[in-house]
Amino acid sequence: MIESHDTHENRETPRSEPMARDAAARADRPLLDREVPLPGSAGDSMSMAALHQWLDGERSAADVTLDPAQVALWSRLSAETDRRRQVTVPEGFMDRVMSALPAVESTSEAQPVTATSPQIAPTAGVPLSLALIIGTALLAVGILIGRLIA
Amino acid sequence: MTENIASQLTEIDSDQDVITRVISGDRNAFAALIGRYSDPLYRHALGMTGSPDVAEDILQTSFIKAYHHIGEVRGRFDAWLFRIVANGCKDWLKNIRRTHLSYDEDDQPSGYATPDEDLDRTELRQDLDGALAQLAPSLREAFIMKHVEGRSYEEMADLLGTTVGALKMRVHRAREALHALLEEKYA
Repeated sequence: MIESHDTHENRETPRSEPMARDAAARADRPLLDREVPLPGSAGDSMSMAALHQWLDGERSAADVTLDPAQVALWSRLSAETDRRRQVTVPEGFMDRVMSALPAVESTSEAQPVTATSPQIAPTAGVPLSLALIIGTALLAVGILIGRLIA
Repeated sequence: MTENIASQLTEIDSDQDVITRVISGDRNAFAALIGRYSDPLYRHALGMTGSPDVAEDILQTSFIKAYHHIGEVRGRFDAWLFRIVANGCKDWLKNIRRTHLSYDEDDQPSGYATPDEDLDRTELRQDLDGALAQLAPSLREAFIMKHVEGRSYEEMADLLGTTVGALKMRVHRAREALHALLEEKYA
């Protein structure tokens, strides 16, 4: 968050004037005196365009005029990116992924229904323990009703 | 064992053949797909996150996700898988606002002859990571794909679903930003 620390209360002071003067003075200075080159200046953009053509492989270094300092920087960066291109996945990665995959589900083929096959069987959705609890509860209710009737 | 299965399948079967086998219940066939794509995708995740541990986590999660949804693959499997990994990286970057990435690769062998060269390389590596961390994710992604993964613009356009012109623009902007960040020290 940028906050104004301007303590000047007099709003009528023509504050833009010194700034304009500074800007004019800066503009008069030769390009080489600038600490930061003007963005988008013709020489700068031409140099970058040549650099892109070289790095994209569209033209060889001999065909374009490049600043030796640019060439030195990008040669070093290229050596570093080439080295990173050799990086491989850590050892044992494949085994770690494979062991994290769910086990193959057992194929449950449909059993043919016969006259002797049980009509009610616990399904995968209802655990056996739950079925036993329900069965016991129904039995208890049945005994209770039987006693009440007797 | 899984690596043996992968090597047997890699040379023979197309991605679609392997996918068909996985869908039909051959779980081990999936190892072939891991063997084919883990290295380039790891480099992508590492370039985007700067952390070997995070890159491996993202890649592992992506392969597991791919396994569960493998029946939904339409078109090229590698492009589909790449999008899963790329989205994983972008999600991570959204969640973790870090100002500096540390590309910790101490387990990688040094290819430099002298300690001075090694030190020099380490410094450049750290500076490049710091500069990459300052790029917008889309610019970093384009730079990593072009310069680290060594992909062509056409291949990048295929994978990212955008145009060659747009990607050239992103790579150029990334280079210019890196140049501005590093030239004072290295140029």
